Amino acid sequence: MATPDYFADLGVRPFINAIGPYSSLGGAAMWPEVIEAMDYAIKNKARMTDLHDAVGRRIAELTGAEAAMVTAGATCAIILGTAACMTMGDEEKMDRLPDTSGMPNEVIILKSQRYLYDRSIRAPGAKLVEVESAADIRAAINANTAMLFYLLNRPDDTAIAIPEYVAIAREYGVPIMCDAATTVPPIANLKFTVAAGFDLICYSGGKGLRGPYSAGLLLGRPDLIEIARRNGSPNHRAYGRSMKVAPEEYLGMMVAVEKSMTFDEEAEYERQLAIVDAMGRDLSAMRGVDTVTRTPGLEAREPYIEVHWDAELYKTTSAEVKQALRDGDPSIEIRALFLSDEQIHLTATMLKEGEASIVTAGLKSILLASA
Amino acid sequence: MTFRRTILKGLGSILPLGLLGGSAVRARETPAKAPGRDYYRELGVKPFINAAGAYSALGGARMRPQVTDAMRYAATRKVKMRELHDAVGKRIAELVGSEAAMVTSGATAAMVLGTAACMTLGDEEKMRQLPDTTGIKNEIIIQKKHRYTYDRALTVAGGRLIEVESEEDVRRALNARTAMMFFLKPTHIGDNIPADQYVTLARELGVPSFCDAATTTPPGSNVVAGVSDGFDLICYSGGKGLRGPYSAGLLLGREHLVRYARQNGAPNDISIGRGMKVSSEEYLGMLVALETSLGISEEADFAYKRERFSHIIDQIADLPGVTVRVFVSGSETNELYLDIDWDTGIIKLDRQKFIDALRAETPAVEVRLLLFSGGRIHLSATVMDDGQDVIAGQVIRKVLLEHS
Repeated sequence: MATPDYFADLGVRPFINAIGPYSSLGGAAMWPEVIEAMDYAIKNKARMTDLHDAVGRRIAELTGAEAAMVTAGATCAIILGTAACMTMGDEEKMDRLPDTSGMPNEVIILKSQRYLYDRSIRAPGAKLVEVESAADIRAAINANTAMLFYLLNRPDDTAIAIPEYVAIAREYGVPIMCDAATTVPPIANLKFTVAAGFDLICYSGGKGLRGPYSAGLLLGRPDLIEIARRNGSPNHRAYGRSMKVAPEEYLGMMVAVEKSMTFDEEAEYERQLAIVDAMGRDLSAMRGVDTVTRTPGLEAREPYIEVHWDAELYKTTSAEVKQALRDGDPSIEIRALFLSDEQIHLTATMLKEGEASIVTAGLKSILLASA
Repeated sequence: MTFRRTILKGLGSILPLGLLGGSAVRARETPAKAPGRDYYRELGVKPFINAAGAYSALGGARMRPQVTDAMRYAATRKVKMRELHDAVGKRIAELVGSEAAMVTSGATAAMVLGTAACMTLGDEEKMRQLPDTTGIKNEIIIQKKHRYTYDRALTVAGGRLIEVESEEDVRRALNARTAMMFFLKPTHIGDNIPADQYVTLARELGVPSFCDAATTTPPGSNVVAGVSDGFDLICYSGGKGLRGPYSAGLLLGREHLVRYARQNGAPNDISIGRGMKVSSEEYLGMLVALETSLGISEEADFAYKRERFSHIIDQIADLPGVTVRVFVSGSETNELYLDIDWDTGIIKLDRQKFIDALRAETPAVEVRLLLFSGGRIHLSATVMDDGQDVIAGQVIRKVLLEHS
């Protein structure tokens, strides 16, 4: 029996992804090995507890973390980790979340690290306490402090160095969580966060690690991981019962970590660099168009090109270009920076063979049409 | 007996269980390519045969081949999640006759998102604020007889449960903070206020009604029947009776409420439900699971299960003191079970020890022990592959014989 072409039947269009493995665009392309492992887990049933124990142990060995669990994504890891730090395994408290009366519920966060996803820290009932310096942190810690929070590789972050922040956490006996969701590749970041001594570390599974879309990792202290597990699925009355992780996602995530630990990152980086460079040469051959190849130094190591154009010559904005490419056939997704001058970014992570030239051709025709 | 014991010894290796059925029972799915890695063996995860049913803790349902094909299809083809959610939602709504539909990361997620939708009614500031319910309607009316393990999900987004026993209680409980009226079906102990009366009352009072019908399949047609009850929102588990993906479920109902529920969920970054991610393969797989379930007759389903049971019965019916009975559960869910009983004068084994002994075997066999019905042992064939039945029967025979 042939598999029907479901997306065509449903009228869901394929598209070209020149922006990267975003959740709203379906995340990263899974390693073929991950898909095989998922197939295996679909065919062969295991008790969830056995599977969670064994995969957790294996991921811990692979990453050097003391303990590990697979979550339903990085957000889920933040939620379950926060729930663990607030309840510390007290059944009555776990059963009561997000009502956090009578339990430590303050999470200390640097003002410069406030971001979109700190929303999930609040999901199980925590309150954010903003600080700006090491002195602030010391002053803010009190009996209601549940957790210190750190967002890895925020480019503008100079408020406090990681070793000092971790040392303060140790000194006061408060767990410290690091959200490193999108900082892989390079895999060196994963090893760094484990070595840095954070008590809990969160990673996205379906992005740089190229694991299942709705999977993530929570690594860290065995006691906290155990409590985080109790706050999650499949425990019936857990706060996180709704954030289910399928056995195929659990196993698939393990294989994604295995693969990412041994994979030749440098070769992949060079491959992507060659593609974006070629796109850059293609575009900058156009009058009034200029491109710069960049590699973020801190966040995930994903090369991209910035495309600038002479606003006198091409009377269109980055937002308009993004929309026009999205509305085109095939639809193309790119990154547009609305706050800076007219520039857009193109990446090669998700581009398939032959798609780079479609992206540049589309972009050129939009610019030309505006001239 | 020697023959049987020899086969059992051979099971120490972790081969795909479906392939071990022996000559009489051919494996249904023969892998075309060379076997790949045996992950469970590497990890020391013990294989087991699930004769208990599609429980989350045991890995959920056995997906139909159409569902796994659809998942594999979606795993290698990227589409924009919003487009996929729109298209699949529309198709599911057509199939079941609801105004709108969405796939969630399970029935519990459907309850969390549905509650959040009724509490915030699309107000973005309120959605961001959850679970802090200051200035937000957060009272959920629930019948005392409908209190159960999973009502926990109603409080995850910040809801508070208000217990009622009569229509008069509901009217008295109603106030400006009432967000939703919750209903559970089926219940073992009945309702204080039956479904039709509850729906009418909710409509009269202008309060959205929500029904948790998570476990009321199979048959799949129960979803269509459930929708026609008229609740504003109704939810189903995907990875159980509908045999869809493990971490998937359905939320069906009014267009505006499903829209709000979507806003409160992934991949919307500011939502309380951002942690409840559903992959594109799960989204599509859930649609195909529903389609397939609706197209399969109960008779075909029962025939498959009867055959599994007959292969188990073949292994144990000759044991002195053992009685077996295949029956259809009396509740709303038409599930077929095999009841196994024995004379404890002949086989000196109590029910709990039997369960423990089955778990200690390799492969282990999981069955259901019904504590409330005087400790009955029930087997379900819903997650059993063709071929696993014989092995399960052999393991059960071995355990019973060891105590005869």
